Amino acid sequence: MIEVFGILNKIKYLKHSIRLLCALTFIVGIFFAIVLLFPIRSGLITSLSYFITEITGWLMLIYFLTTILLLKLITKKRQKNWLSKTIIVFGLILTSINALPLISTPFSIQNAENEFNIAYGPGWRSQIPSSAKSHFLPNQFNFYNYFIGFPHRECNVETDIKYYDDGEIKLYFDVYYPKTSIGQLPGNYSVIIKLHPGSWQYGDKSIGNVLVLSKYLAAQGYVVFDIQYGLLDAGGSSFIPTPDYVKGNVTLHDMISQIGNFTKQLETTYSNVYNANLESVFIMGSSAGGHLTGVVGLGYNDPYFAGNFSSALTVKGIVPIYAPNFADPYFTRDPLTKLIPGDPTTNPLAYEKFTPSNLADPNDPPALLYQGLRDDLVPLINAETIKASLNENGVNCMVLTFPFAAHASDLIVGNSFSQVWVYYLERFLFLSQ
Amino acid sequence: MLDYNFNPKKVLQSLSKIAIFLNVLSCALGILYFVISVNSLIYDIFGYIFFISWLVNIFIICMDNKYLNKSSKLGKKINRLTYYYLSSFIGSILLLAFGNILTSFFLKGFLLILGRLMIIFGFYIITLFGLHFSLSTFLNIDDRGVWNFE
Repeated sequence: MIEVFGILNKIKYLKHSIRLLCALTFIVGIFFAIVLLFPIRSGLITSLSYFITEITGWLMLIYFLTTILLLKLITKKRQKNWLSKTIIVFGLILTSINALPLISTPFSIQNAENEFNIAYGPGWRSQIPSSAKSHFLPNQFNFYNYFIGFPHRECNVETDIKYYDDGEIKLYFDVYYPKTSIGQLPGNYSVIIKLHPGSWQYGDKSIGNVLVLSKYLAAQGYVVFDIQYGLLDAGGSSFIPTPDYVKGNVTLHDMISQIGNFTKQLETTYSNVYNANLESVFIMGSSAGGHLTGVVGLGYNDPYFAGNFSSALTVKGIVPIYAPNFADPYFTRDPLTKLIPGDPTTNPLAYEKFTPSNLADPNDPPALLYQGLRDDLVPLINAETIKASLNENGVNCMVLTFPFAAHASDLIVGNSFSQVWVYYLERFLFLSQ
Repeated sequence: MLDYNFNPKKVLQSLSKIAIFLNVLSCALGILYFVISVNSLIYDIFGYIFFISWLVNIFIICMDNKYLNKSSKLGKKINRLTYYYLSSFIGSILLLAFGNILTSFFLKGFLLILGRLMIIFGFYIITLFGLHFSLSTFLNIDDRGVWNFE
């Protein structure tokens, strides 16, 4: 008899614990829903918003299942009516809010289709042969990549190859390239130079630069160089992993010079080692790396940057991802003021040249931009300005926009934003070669 | 005029049949996907199949909750199974989410392998437990005293 009471008590406590856990899940859910819907500028919440927008599909299922579990756990009949109604309302609201990024996927696709139709004409898909198509994602969105992950593709990877050392700063790169046994691939050994994010002060290649995408593109025949560049050591700290040996008293001019140095070594050394096709080069980067992508890609032929880059490379396209455009105000706020000597009144030329939209000219390569519409760190106006200035010069520029996507919303490649992005990115790279 | 009488027993029977079929198909395609990961339309179909199977499993839980006679021995057993399934479903979704996060950030090493294992386990816990649960519902649907269909 005592044993039976013991078991009943245990079940009672277990049910109480599960109820408590479910209630906690709901409380966390309400907080996450606020972060997802409203732009709140605070260190932790801003960082959370980058992350939450990427995992809403899983959260949606968790809230839905928690609602059912909680409903099952209501045993007292007098509570049943009002409590179950409250749980249903809360549960369904949380589930619906977290379903919004998934539901908005058709809008992102429609926008991307419009951008590609304008740039390449309505029949742009017919320009891609079926031999290349067979390597691409067949659809803009699928559930398997979303829920069970975007797989790591087979390719060769070499890591931590040193390309720069000035005594104070050492810089390395990783390279992802196709397996030699594979025949004709859509990438045709075109080069992609990837620049990592991190507000010019933090970040790293590899872990901080969407390595799953680097492997995916290498498996398609691209030679992807994921490179480090010097970062400003402003004394701050961040949760973003950053090696100490890349930090120093670095300006944007130094960063461009280091990236330029890499292009020269690519010409003299690495193109032969990795069979890289220098006639077809793409620059790709996100956030701060996206800004540098704009400066390098559009400034490659600008006299202001003359002598920095190898003349043997032909830039066929640039891919700035949630990239800041305006030097003023981004570099007029501490500690980023150190990145450009002087200020917009004492050094107007530098401020002008480190604003990518000012570098546009008719000889520039086409551009594909990623922009989250929930990005309060780098809002849409940045991408729109780059697009307007390139279009004015007769250069194709497509901006893919993603409702509910915050800054850095492409880190988990299988999420609903990234899938659409990868679908159009691989086609853009192929069409621009 | 169409005269439609909602028959919960028939609905539950059909749903559990569909769930068994979808869960078996998900398991088979899952093996194929984890062994050969390429871009293919087959996997797009696989994605829809497993997602629909999850939803059908959840729907069966809701119907079981409504129509199970929890005072009978077997009814109590199936009811307990719904608790286990719901809890493991939530746990597996967490495994899938964290597995995805780990595989997104690591190029090689223990954490990448751990992430992959979390994804595989998460997926198969949902699918195999779903299969077990829908089979339990289907095989006991005709048992007297287990359900409150009338």
